Amino acid sequence: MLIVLKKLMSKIIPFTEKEIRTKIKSKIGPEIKRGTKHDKGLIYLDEIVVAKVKIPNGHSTPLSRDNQRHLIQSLKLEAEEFNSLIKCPLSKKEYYQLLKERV
Amino acid sequence: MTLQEFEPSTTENIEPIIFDKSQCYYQGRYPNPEKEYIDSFVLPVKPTGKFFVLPEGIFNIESIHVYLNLNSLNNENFILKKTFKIKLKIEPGNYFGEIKELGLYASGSTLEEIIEELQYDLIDNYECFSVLPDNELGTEPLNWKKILVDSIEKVNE
Repeated sequence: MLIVLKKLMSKIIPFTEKEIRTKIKSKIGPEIKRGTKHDKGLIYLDEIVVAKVKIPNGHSTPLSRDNQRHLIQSLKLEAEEFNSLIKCPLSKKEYYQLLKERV
Repeated sequence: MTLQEFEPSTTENIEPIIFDKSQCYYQGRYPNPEKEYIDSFVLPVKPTGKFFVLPEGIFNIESIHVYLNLNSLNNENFILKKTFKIKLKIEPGNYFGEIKELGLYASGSTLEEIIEELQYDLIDNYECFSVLPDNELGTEPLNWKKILVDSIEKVNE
């Protein structure tokens, strides 16, 4: 019950595309695949591909809510954890620990 | 609220939906404005959000969902052997589409734009995952690979 409430209360903060792109690249460090419209990132755990994410472009506009929600799912995070990843408290090590528990 | 399924045979059947229709003058003529609204669409839709009937007789909704069948990759080098269902969310000035089983999504200001992006992503993911050995893929990517290899055929090298 508490978990459900926590999920319902977690809020998606409208980060800019640039902020998200920068943090994904620097903190998660996926293998980048260049695309025509978006770059994609392959995320590895123990040399196994566990996720593929669409990396936002470097615009200074906020990423739309739908795009951000799907990106959060692709990263296997909850909204709160994603906020923490972008705002900095969530470290690379902590992210990969969370990922390990979820794949 | 009526939920109608949409199963067009090809994407060529898709007709644009004019979101302005979400603001229709009610004027007390219709006993069931929600049904009238749904019936006014060329394509059957699944409305989401709430209907708001305003005092001046306008009713509005937040967004609508439409399901489209994608059965072409629009690329001479690849054939799509399976039809994928795109769940489309339509909001004023914005379309958002997803192919849930493959974790693919795209957004844009036109329907064509997101269909093109999803077609591109299907090929991109096929080319990415089909060459990776199964033992180098986690559960979800391995599942995507199986779906993609079963659904797409490369006809020209």
